[in-house]
Amino acid sequence: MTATSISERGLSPAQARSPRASFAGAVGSELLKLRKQRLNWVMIALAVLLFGVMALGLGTSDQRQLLAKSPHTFFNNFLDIWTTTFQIGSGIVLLLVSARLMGMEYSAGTLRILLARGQGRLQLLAAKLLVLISLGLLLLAGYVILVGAYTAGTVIVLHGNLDPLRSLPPVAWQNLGLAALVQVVSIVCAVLLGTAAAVVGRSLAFAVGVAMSFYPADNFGALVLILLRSATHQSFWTKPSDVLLGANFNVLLQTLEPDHSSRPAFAVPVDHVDATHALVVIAAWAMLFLGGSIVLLLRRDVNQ
Amino acid sequence: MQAMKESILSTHALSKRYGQRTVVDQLELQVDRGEVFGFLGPNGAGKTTTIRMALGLVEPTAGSVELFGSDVRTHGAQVLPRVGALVESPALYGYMSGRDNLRAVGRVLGGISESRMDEVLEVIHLRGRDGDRVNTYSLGMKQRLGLGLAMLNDPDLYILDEPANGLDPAGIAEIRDLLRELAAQGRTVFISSHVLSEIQQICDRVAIIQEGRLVTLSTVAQLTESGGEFIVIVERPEAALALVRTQPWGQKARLEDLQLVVPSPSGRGRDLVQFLAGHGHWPDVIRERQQSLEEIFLDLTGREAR
Ligand SMILES: Nc1ncnc2c1ncn2[C@@H]1O[C@H](COP(=O)(O)OP(=O)(O)O)[C@@H](O)[C@H]1O
Ligand SMILES: [Mg+2]
Repeated sequence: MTATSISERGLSPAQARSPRASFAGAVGSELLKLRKQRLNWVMIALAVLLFGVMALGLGTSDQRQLLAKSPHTFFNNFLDIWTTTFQIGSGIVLLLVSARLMGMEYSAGTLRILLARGQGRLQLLAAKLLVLISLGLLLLAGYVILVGAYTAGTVIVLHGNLDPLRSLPPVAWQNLGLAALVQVVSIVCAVLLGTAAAVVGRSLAFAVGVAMSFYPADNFGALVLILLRSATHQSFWTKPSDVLLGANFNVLLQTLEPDHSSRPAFAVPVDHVDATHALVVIAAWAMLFLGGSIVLLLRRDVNQ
Repeated sequence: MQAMKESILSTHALSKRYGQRTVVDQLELQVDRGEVFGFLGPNGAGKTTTIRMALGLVEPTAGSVELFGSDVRTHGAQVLPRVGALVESPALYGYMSGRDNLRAVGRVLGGISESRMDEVLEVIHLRGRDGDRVNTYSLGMKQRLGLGLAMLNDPDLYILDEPANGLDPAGIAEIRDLLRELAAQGRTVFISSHVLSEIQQICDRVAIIQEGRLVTLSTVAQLTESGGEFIVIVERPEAALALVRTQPWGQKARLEDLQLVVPSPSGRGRDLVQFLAGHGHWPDVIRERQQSLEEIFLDLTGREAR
């Protein structure tokens, strides 16, 4: 580093110093960090591979009979399988990606670089949430196209044309829309949970650990509560399961559907709950994740 | 007429407590535009905590920090982009390339062009390696990239927390040259260290803190003046010591491991050599005795050093 090196290169101060910080820039920065994480691309490739394997496994001969006999049942089966698959698959991916994108700032110490350069704590959080939720919506859009094409292809192969789909009652399409809506809620929740885990634990390992074990623990917890009730004959045990996030997510689509045709997978609240209850519980958890992240981020010293 | 001094960084009764422990205690500092200001103290003295408070990362328990005349807590968004900082070990995105690290921070700052990144990469000597993942960099390269992130938007003030830590002498010299150049361009530099010799050549003034309290604030010359002693190796040290002791300036002379530790009549080594040689004690070796920071602390805090 010679004494002349800086002045010769010219620091072009006027250009370099004008304050141009913007939210769009913050989003661009998060997008870059996300894109450069190889694991994210590996996971998407694996998901596509998994989709292919599942799609091959579904094309069996009794499907042909079912399609001929009751296109609506055929459709509902497909909807069940593919919504559950997306909810679990996108959940795992988004939880992991969110926990990593926020958690690495703590573990690598880069949080102090960004904040020391004047980036607002809320701006950082908002930029990350926006990028992550956009990623979720993008995954959903891609998935809808993929499954749509696969379903149409299956119907054509089994029936020769798309008439069975055209004959579906309106409620079938309404349920499809509701399923997509539930996935949007699920995406937002996964991103908020993964980010909150990172902010609470202030480390990558904690974030990933908590994010990946939250839903399994939640579902397992509901099962334990059911067992406790039957063992003790105390209805008291059913109450906590009514407010579990995962259990309410599992029944959300069914409670929303006019004909309640979808079958919930995994644990559900022990009591019968309606759509309002499920939505209120999910919204409360989401607000807890978001509010907790904001408060902790704003109030705590940055010692990383 | 005296030139107006413009305060770039100042702390006012700045304090930080963790539980019962006071880590920074009523600190008063003022750094003026264009200064290279050394912030010295042994490990655990509270340097990093002070710097974190100056950067709005840690909330003071009491008191405040002003950057460019504005409280960092209320005006952080306006003043912090004008500060380039390096806090403790360099924090980088290890999975990304050096250039992508510059891009990630550059986008947050806004208005940083690719050609500006080229300039910075040139200055920090990473031009050829900017496409490699940072995880593959040596510590010195990471430290330089950390400086590069700080330099991106040509800030007015640099706050550097022990930038020489873990570097070899050549790396330290490089950083020193870079800081000199920045100072020559009118940038203000606030640099911390626990080793006086690392920064005494470039600092105008230094503050020394110990256990969170300001011990002294002075120029480097004043600081080292107080301890200006020489170590001399002569054939007959006892005789030389007796001779020096007869002189008014030699009262504090003593022997340490058969080496003569002695002040110079004028403060300059050549006058000491001339005196000794003139009395038949030709020195084999003479070198300035570097007072360690610890000794300076002990002197300054008035405790018995030896
Ligand atoms: N987050 C913290 N919680 C408790 N004590 C802390 C914290 N951060 C620093 N300290 C303590 O404050 C003192 C000063 O630390 P620091 O500012 O890092 O010193 P320096 O940078 O001068 O080595 C140390 O004794 C350290 O243990
Ligand atoms: Mg330190």
